[in-house]
Amino acid sequence: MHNIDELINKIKDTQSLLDLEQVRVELLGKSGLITNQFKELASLSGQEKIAKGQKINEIKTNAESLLSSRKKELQEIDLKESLAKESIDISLPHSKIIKGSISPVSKAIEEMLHILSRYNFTFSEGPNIENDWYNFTALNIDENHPSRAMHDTFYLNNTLLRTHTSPVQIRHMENNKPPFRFIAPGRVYRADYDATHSPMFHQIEGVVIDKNINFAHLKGFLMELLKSFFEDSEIEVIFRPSFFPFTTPSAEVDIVTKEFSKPLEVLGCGMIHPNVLKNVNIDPNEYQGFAFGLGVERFAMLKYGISDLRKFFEGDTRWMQHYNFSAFDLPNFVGGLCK
Amino acid sequence: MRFGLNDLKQFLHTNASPEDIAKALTSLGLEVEKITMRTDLAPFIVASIVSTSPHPNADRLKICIVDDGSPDSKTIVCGASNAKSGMKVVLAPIGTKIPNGEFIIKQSKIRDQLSFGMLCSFNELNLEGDSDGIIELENDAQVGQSFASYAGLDDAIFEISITPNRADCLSIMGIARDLAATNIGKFIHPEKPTITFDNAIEAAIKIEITNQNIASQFISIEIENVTNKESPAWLKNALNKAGMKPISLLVDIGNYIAHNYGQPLHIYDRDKISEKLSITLAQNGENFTGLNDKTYILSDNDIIVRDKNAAQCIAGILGSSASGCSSDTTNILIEAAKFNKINIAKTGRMLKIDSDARYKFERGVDESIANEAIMKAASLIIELCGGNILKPTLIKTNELPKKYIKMPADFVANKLGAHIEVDLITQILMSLGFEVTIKQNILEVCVPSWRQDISIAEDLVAEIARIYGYDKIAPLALQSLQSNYSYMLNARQRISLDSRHIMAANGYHEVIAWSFASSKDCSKFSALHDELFLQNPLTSELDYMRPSALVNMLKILENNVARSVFSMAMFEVGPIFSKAELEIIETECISAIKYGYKDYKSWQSQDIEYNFFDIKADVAYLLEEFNIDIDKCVITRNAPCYYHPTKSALIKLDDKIIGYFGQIHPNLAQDYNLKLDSFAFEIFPDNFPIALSSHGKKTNLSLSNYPVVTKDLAFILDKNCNVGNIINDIKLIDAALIKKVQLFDLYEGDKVAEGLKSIAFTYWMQSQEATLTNEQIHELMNKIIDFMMKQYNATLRRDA
Repeated sequence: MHNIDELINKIKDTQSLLDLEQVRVELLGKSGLITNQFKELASLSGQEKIAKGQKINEIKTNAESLLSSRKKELQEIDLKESLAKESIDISLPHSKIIKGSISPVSKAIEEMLHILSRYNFTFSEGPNIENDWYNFTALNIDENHPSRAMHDTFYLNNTLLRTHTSPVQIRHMENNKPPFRFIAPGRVYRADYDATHSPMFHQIEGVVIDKNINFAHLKGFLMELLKSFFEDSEIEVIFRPSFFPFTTPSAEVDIVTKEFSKPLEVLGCGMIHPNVLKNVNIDPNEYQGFAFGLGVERFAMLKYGISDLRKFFEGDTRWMQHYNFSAFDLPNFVGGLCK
Repeated sequence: MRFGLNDLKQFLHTNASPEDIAKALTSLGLEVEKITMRTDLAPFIVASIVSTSPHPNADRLKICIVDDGSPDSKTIVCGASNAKSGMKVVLAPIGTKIPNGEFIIKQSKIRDQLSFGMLCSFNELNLEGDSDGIIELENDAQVGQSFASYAGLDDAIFEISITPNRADCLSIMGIARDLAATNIGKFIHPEKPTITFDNAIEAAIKIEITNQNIASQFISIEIENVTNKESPAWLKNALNKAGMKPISLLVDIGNYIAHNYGQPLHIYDRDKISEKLSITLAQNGENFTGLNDKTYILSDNDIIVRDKNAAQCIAGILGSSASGCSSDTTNILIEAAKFNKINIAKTGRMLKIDSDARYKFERGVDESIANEAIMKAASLIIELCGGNILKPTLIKTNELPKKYIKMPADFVANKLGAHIEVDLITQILMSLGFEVTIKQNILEVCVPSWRQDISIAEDLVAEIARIYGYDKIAPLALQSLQSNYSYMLNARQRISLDSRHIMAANGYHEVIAWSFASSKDCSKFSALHDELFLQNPLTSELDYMRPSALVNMLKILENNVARSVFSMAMFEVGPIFSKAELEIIETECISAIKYGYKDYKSWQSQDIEYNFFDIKADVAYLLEEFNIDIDKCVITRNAPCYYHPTKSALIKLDDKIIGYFGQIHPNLAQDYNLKLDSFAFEIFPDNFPIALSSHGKKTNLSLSNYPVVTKDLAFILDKNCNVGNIINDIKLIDAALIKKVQLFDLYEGDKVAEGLKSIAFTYWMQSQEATLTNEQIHELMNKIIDFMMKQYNATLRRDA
C-alpha cells in the first residue's frame, strides 16, 4: 500500500502524457499495483474481503480521478505549447477585397431621383441622336433664332446630338396626357471643350404641368430641391430674370452658401412657353406649368468638391478611387443622401 | 455688351454707385459679368520729357528731366530705349503703387543718380499695348492731367451678357431705358440734332430696294469734302470702353453711334460707288471681298447693296474692301437701314462672318431710331470732319404696324401666383415704354417699337415680373400627389440603376466615357455608316457615334496601363449606336472590362491573371441579380469580331440577345498596347424578360430533412462536347433527386486518347420523401451512365 500511495502522489508531478501513462500502467495496468491488490482479494473472504475490497475501490477511484484531471492539465499545457508554436505576425498585410465604385454623376442623379420621388415625378427617356424638331423647333427655337448658335450643336447626317434634355419634354408630352410631373436625366452634347465645358455632360430636365401651376410654385419647388440636394437649409436661392425660348417668364437660379459667398449659377427654369404646349396639342389656356434643367456635373462638383470637369470622363483609376462613391453609399431617406 | 458708366450717364440721370447699378441690371435680367474699375491708376499723371542725357555710370540708362505740370521739373532715371525729349509720358510720382508687381515708387538712387518717380510702360499699368518701351501719349494729352482721365480709364466699365431676346439692350440707350424702369435713375433722351437741308443739293447716288421683303427701310445721307483722320481721345476712349478698336474718325463715329443707339451704320466712300445703290439679293456664286480682305462666295439668300458694277456691301454684315473709308476719303455716303433678320442670320451663318452689325440685325433693330441715329452721325461728322451735307434719301417699303396685346387683369396673378395691383401693373408697363388702356378689366397694351420680342400676354407677365422683382414673389410649396404606389422608375429603368450598384459591389469602377470615339477605332468594332459620323467633330478622335462602349473603355484602359496600372476593372452603363435598315438604333448597354492580375506580387500566393471564367462569373452574378440564370440561357460562340474567336460567347434568352462576353481579341489588345489579357462583357437590359415586381413575395419553400448522398462518376468522351450542356442534361434526368452536379476534374492529355477528354462530376442527391436507398442511388447512377453513353457517346472511367 505504501508503494501505491507513493505512486498516486507522483501523478501530480508528472510532466508529460507519456510519464502519466507510465504511472497509470504501474497503478492500473494488467499487473499494476492496484490491479494486483484486486487479484489478492481472491484469497480473502467474508468481512475482510468486503472491507478490503471497498478500500481498494476507493483507492482506485481516487487514482483514476487524479490521473484524469492531470491528463487534462497536461493536454492543456501541450495545446498551449503547440498553439504558441503557430504564432504568426498579425501585422502582415491582409488579403484585399477588390472594391468597385459609382461615378459622382450617377450618385448625384440618384440623389436627385430620391428627392424628386417625393413629388411623384416619373422618369422619362429620349434618344441622344435627335432631330431638329424635337431639339429646337418644337421648343420654340426656330431655324434662325440666335439662341441656336449658342447651342454649339454637333450635327450628323440630317440629325443632331441633343444639346439639352428638353426634347424629352416634347416626346413625353406628345405621348401622354396632362397633368404632368416627369423628369428626364441624360447625356447632352455641345461642341465645346475647355476647362469648364465638355463636349458631353449630363442634364436633368423636369416638368410640372397642371391647371394651376404658377411661378410661385416654381420658386417654392426649386428652393426645396436645392436645399434638399445640398442638404443645407441655410442656402440662399436667388431667382433672376433670364431668357429661354421655351419658357416665359424665365429665370436663372443662383445659390449662395456658407462655402461659396459669391452667387453660383446652378440652373435655368421658367414657365413653359404657350407655343411649346401648342406644339404638343395642349391648350395653354387650360394647362400651364414650369420646366427646369440642371447640369448634373455642376451639381456634383459643388456638392462633392470636385474641381476639374474634364476628369469626370477620363476614367483615371486614381481619380475614381478618390472621387467615386462606394457601392453601398446609397441615398436614403432614413440615413441621408450620402454617408 | 460693354460700356463705361460715364457713357451710360449720357442717357441716364443717376447718382447710384456702380455696385447698385450692377445689382439693378442683374435684377432686370441683364446679367453683369464683370465691372472693371481702375482706381489703381488714379495717381498716374501725364508728363512730358523736357530733355534726356546719358547716365554717367550706366550705358542703358538715361537721365530724363520731366515736366509734370508742377513748378519744379523732376529728374527721373529711365531705362526705356524710346525715351526722348518732347515725348508725352505717363509718370508714377513718388508714393505710387505700380499695378503690375505691386511695388511702391520711392525716391531712390540708381547707380548714384537720384530719381524722383518712374515713367511707365503699358505692362506696368496692366494695360494692353506695346510694352517694348514706355508709353508714348498723343500730343493732345495735357501735362499735369490725370492719365486715367485722359485715357478714359477713370470710368467703371460694365460687361453684361444680353440674352438673345433683348435686341433693344444692344445699345447704351436701351440699357439706360431699361434701368430707368427700376427707378434707379431717369432716362434722358438726347437732344435730336437739327440739321437743315434747305440749302442742300440733291443726293448724287440713287437708292432702290428691288425686293420689299429684304429691307423695310433704307436711309442714306451723303456728305462731301470731309477729312478723315484719327479720332479725338474722348471718342477713342468711348470705343475702347465699348471693347471696340478705334480705326479712323469716320469709322469710329459710325461705330460710336451704333453702340449708343443700336442702329448699325455703314459708311461708304462715295467716290468708289458708281451711280446707284440697289438693295437686292446676290446671284449664286457671286464673289465678294470684304473689308477684312477675305473673299466670300455669295448665294441668292444674301442681301447685298450693289452699285452699277458690283456688290459694295453684304447688307447688314460686312462692307466691301473697294468702297470702304480710307484716310483719303473725301465724299461719303452713310447708310442706316433695316434688313430682313432671317436673311441676315442665314448669311452670317453660311459665310461664318461675326460682325457687330450682324449681331444687332439678326436680333432685330428698332427701325424708329434709324433716322435719329443717322442724323446724329451726320452732325458729328460735320462737326469733327467738316464737309457739307446733301439731301437725305429715305425709302420705306413697309410700315411696321403697331402691336397690341390684350391681357385680362387676373392673368398676371394666374401665371405668377402673386397678386399685383392693376395700377402697379400699368405703371410697370408704362415705365418700359408700353402704352396701356384698360377696358372692363382687360388691359390693352401697345408694344414699343424696340421690343419686338414681346408678342403674347405671357411675355408681358415676364416683363411685369422682372420689374416687380422675382424676389418679391412669395414661394409656394409644390404638393405631392395622392400616391397610387407606382414608382418613379419602371422595371427596365430600375435595372440601369441597380446594375451600377451590383457592378460596383463586385469590384468594378464606374467610368463615364464619351458617346463618340474615333471612326478609326470604331471601324475595328463595326462597319461604319454615314449616318453615325459627326459632321462637325471637335477632333478626329471624337468623330463617330460608338458602336460599343468598349471602344472608349479600351482607350481608358490603355491610358491607365501606361501609368503602370497592372489590373483594373471598370464598367459603364450608357448608350451605343448602330444602324438598322433605315433608322439609327440606340441601345443601352452595361459594358465592362477586366484586365490584368487577380492576385499580383502577394506574399501569400502566386501571381494569378484573370481568365475567361472570371468574366463569365461576373456576367452570371449580374444576370442572377435580375433573375436570369445563365445556365438556362443559350450560349453560343457568336460574339462580335472584337472578341477572341474561341474564347467568347453570345448569350440568348427567348431568342433575344442578352449580351456577349469573353476575351478581347488579341489583335485589338495589341492595338491598345495591353500586355496582359483583357476580358469584357456587354449586356443589354432592354432584352431582359420583363418581370413585374413581386413586391418581395417569395415562392413557397419546402426543405427536405433526409440526408444528402454524394457520388462521383467520371467519363471519357469527345473533347468538343460542351460540359455546360452535359451538366444541364444530367440534372434533367431526375430533377427531383439530383440537387447539384459539380465538375471537379477536367483532363485532356496523354492519359486519354487523342480527341477525347476526361470529365469527373460529383452528384448531390436528396429526396423530399425518404432517405435514399442504395438501390435508388444505384439505379440513378445507371441512368446517368446510360444517358451519357447514348447522348454523348461517353464511356465510364472505372478507375475514378
